Amino acid sequence: MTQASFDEFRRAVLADQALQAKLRDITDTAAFIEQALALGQALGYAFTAEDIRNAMQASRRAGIERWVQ
Amino acid sequence: MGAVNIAQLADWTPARISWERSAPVLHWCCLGRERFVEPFFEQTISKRLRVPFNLLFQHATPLDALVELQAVDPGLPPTGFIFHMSRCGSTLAAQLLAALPQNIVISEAGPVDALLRCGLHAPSISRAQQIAWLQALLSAYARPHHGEKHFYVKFDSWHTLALPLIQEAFPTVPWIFLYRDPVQVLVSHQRQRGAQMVPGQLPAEWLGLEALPAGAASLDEYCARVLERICNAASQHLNDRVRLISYHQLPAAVWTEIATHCGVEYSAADCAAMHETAHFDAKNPSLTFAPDTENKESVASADLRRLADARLLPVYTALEARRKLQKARAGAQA
Repeated sequence: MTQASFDEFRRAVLADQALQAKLRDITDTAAFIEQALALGQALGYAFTAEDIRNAMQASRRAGIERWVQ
Repeated sequence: MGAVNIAQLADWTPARISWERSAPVLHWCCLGRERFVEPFFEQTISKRLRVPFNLLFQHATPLDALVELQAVDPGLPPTGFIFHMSRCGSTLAAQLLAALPQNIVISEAGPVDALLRCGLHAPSISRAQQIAWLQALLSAYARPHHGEKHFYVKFDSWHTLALPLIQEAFPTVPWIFLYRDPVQVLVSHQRQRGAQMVPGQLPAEWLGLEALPAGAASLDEYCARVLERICNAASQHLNDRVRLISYHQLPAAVWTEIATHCGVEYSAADCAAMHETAHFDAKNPSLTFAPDTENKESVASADLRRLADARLLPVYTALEARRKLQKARAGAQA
């Protein structure tokens, strides 16, 4: 199941500054998704670009619900 | 939120605090290579929260993560604190300091405000806990990710009401109080009302104002009352670590009196960089700075002047007297 693998990938990146450094300064969304997929694959995770897009969209929504009053 | 791995917070900055069932939750943001150079903290955070990395990896922790982080990765001790009455050049002062790469400057950070006013959300939080979290929060902001040497905090104007707590948390940090002729500040708020000057935006009990019946006072009257509380709070807590600075002393005071007061020396290149930054509008750096004192004085109505005299002239006069005394003493010691 790609969602579980994606969640593990997120935890792995959050626990590793070197992995964060590979992704944190990419501002273009398409380039970021491409790099995140490549990094995930290199680390042995299996998730899709759709998983990433869904997670980003959920984050945007949560941000609006939490902070925009 | 799961167990917190403090090591994973090395490159993360406290961005916002939310309240979940009366417990504070700290939301983190990765700044990457960014420094806090925008006029206000929230502008930098908002910009960074939109980048893909933060959308995907932003996370939250309990506030105690700050205390754990402080123990393993402490920041610089604060170099100076900026307090102010609003619309008096405080953003200019902060922007000049932020223009230098050796400075970390945090301007009116939401998490600082949330902690200073946390009693409203959770009265059970003890003063000792509040102080510990505040010390740890500023320590997190003060980590020198780019080799910085100095750390400044510009507080929100209403934080003069929290001076006793801030001074207890940071008893040795030099601070300044920036102020301006009250008529000019009132005109500024007439043109663009600060949120804190709208009844109900800040709880009356926190401001120490009696709650007024709806419609009992004009917005200008309410604004004058809030400014009176802010200035009186500063005036009542002046100590040997404060330097009073009037708007008309800016921008030069930033690289002269304020620098000396905070124990910092600037090179000629630093002063030139700050001088150059002062040519631009502090709140909107894409615009050139335009002096507005004469204009504000010319448009102030007789009613506004009466309001300023009734509510603010006494404290303004006292601040001016104390400022001139400080200046005379500093001159005698030079």
